[in-house]
Amino acid sequence: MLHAKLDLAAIRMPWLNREFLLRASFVALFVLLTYQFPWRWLRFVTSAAVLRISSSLGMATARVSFDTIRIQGQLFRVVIACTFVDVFMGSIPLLWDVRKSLLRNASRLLAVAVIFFGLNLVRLEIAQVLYFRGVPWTLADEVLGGFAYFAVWLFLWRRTWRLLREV
Amino acid sequence: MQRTPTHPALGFLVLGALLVSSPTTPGQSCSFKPVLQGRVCTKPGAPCKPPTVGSGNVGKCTTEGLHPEELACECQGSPTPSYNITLSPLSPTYIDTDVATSTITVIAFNGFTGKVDFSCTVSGVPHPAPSCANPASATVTNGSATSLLRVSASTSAAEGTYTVTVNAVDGHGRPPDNGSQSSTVSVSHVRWILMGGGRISLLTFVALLALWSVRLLWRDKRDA
Repeated sequence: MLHAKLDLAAIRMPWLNREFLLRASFVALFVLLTYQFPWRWLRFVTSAAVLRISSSLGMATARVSFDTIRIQGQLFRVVIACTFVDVFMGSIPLLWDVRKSLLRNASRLLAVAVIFFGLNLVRLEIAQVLYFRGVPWTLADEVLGGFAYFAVWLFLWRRTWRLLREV
Repeated sequence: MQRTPTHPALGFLVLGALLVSSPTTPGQSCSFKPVLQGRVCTKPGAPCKPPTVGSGNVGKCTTEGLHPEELACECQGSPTPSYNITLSPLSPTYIDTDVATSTITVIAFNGFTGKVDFSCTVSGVPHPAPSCANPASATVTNGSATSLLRVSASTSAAEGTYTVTVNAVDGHGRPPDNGSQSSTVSVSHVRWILMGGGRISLLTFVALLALWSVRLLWRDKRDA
């Protein structure tokens, strides 16, 4: 798992830290801000990637609109939450290291964005495969989505804790 | 039979006189440029867009101030109040037995005010097509106004992609300068699935978080 072995007794819990609370407030603000934009291009790119991967796995695929794809006769619409952009935007305040330069932070965030995009594609594709093997969509997509969010949380937790500990 | 100049010098003389008498040189096209309030014309004699009133309603070739050799087409009449309409893309783009909506925005020019009535039509094959109710009228008072277009499909609507066209007229029966506007919507009775996290994702995440927190606290206690 992503969880690091940390000496919990030696440090204060982050939720008691003022900086952590400030970062947490920014998380809410960033996520709210994310949903103010349609992210059409990202929904298109995500659906295109899913379409290609599904096609390479031998499924019958077709694009219906910029955010809707047809796989094995079933329509799937890619909404904002499906792109993981909300997760990425919410991660920025937790990952930002104030002691590092803007360029360093930006390049780190870019790497995180790529990782998140890949992780998201993997979970969407697993959901597709499970669904077409008879697993209900709720279980295939949503429960798996919950696990993906949790994996991201563990990653962020480790990073944020380290940041707070180093201050 | 056409008479030709008997001496070549006479031909040059005629050409020179033409050059002096008219700002439009034969064979030279008149460029166009946007002028105040966005009124443009494409060539001399062409109607100005948006239309203007009076003698300046058609484009006129004039010389440029600093470049007398260049000609430009300008609309010089006082502007007529007019309007454009814009249509946002119908959303959702795919409907089953639900409704797709779009915002119609009226953009006023040259102080246009008043009521704008809308009508809508759905075109495309196959039939029966989804239906659209005529959008409510919009009253422009301060530069712009909006109305809502609703396109609905029933279980009997045939699957396919349809074009929804919105026409508008103002109180004087004048259409918008940019004409009617269209958007497309598709009907499918195949159930589509929303990809991505929903409530169950969140519940799963919270449950995992709770388990993880309990484990952390337990380990914290044990280590202490």
